[in-house]
Amino acid sequence: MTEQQLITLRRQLRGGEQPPDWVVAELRRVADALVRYGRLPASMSPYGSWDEEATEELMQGWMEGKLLRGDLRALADRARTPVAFRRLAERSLRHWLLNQRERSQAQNLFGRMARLLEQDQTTFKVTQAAERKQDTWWTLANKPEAEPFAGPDRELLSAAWSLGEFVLVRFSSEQTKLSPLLSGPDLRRFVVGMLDATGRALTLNLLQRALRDRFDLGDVQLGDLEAAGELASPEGVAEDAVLREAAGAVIGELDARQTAVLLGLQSEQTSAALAAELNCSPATITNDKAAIAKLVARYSENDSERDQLLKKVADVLYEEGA
Amino acid sequence: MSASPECPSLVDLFDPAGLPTVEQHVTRCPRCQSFRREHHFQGARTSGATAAEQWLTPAQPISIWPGSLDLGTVLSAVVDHLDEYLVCVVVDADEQEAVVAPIAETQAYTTNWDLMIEEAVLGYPAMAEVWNTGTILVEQAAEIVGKLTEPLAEALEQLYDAMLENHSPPEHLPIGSPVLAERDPRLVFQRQELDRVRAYWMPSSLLAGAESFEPILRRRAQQMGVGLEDLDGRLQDCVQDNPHWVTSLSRGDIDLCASVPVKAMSRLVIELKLPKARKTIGLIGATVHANCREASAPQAAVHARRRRGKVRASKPTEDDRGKAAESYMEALVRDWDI
Repeated sequence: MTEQQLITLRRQLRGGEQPPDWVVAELRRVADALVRYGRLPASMSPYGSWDEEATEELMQGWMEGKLLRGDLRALADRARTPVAFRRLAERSLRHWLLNQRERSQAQNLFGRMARLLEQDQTTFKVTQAAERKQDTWWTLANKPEAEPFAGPDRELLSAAWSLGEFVLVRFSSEQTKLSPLLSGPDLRRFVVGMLDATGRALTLNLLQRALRDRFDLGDVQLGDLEAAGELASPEGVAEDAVLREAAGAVIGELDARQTAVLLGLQSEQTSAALAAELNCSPATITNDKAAIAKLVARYSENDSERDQLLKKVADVLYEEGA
Repeated sequence: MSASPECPSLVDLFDPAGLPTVEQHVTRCPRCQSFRREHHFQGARTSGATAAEQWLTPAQPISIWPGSLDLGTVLSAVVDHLDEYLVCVVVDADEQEAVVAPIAETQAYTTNWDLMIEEAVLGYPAMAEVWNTGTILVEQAAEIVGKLTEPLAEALEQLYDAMLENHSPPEHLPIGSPVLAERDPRLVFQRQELDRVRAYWMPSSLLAGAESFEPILRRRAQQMGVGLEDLDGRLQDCVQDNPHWVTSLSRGDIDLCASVPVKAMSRLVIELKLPKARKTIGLIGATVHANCREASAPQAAVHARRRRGKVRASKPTEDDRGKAAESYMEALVRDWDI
């Protein structure tokens, strides 16, 4: 890919043309390199391991699910050089992969939410029954008089965002099982928080909509809820090989400054010293710390695993030969 | 452009005929080093410029006439050292600068201060970050990417006005839901976006807050830790008979038009690492106007006065000042080729 080709591509895409073959080949190089060198966990592969067939499927899915839906044009608009184009394309592919995993687990999540409401009678209460499970109105047991929510979706979404950060678990050592998208405590925090923040009774349908919009998840057929079977529980990342794989995945998602921040913090540098060294503001370091914590939490189930994983990430970065 | 502070793609990281800028990045990036170590990659063999290196030099930005930067124009803006464009939408503009709202290629983090742009406009769903508006110089505009529809452009203006006037965002606009709590993760996204775009506001901020060039000169010298005397020393050969012209200029004690050639002024702008932009020229023009001490007169009349021993120039009129500023600015435009 040359500078001139990038300019031409930009014009072609703006003119509504299909991406030319050479750019598809360039994107395939990006996908191949990510599979070969990118430390992707095997659990992210459609077949549980990364081979040629899985790479081809990845490429097809990325093209159809993201690039041809406008993302390629956004990449071309933003990249000033071919190097930047490939960097942004790789980032797009990583995001797409992670989002796919979240979307594929959405059904699991809604099933768990339904079960949570039904099983915890001390916290939740039905205010108005309905023929279909998803239309039943629920409230907090200590607010039995709550009226049904009748506000706009925007209000619902604001309430969902106001509940703060939720860590989406994306990694499980046992790849055949469905990992939960939110841990049990976080899912409970979400449902209780929504009922509390709106001060109204909500249906599963409304909770689903809030969850979908807040986490950018796919649509779920709530009719299937009745048939939902036993759902898998989260598995830890205890074994070293698995831990190493998770560490690799974390490193893949870090950027250069976050890597420097992580190593600086591991060697007990202060935020102020790091900010001076990296020529940025202390607020930027705070942002990076939060981003690292969130990233590590995504690949672990509890505090102990988080600590182990963080240490492993630093070990891999510092490994012999560094 | 120098090496990007961001990690390169894995294609470039593992390219045996790699780019020198990538190699330069790797030497100080533990993340990239760990990737290479994992695959026993010894590093690129190439040193010095390669054919690939040419890719790092962007093509000349397409020149955009400032007049075309009106409300709702979506453009890509550049800043010298970054290899990514800032895609943004014009909120307000004049012939020197444009106030723009950065565009994010996602609607996942939309708040009520982000205007949602439907896919039909840019080819992908996006949002204009009205809360994150900033100012660019018109010279930073590289290319026009698109144009908001008229209703969307009006919505952008309404949202921006509401923000300036400290009002709530109008309810009927295509915006997201408000932030209700400090722990809302959209605020983290906003902080990241602030970081991402900050560099693009820098050229304009170097020239902000002044009506003429002298305060910029003083402030910039101070920012760079350079004394005015040092600048005098470096640039003394540019102006005959006045080795302290930079210091004089900083005090507003010098008639630029009569004493400082345009080339000398250009050297000073380069020394101060200021952008060669219409805005800079405008500020210099204001200084020329304010410090003009000699009326413009036909050369024959000047010589005649001198023959008669009358060397003192007459006091300039407002018209003389205007003409002096205009002629100096035109010479700078030619010299800088903008």
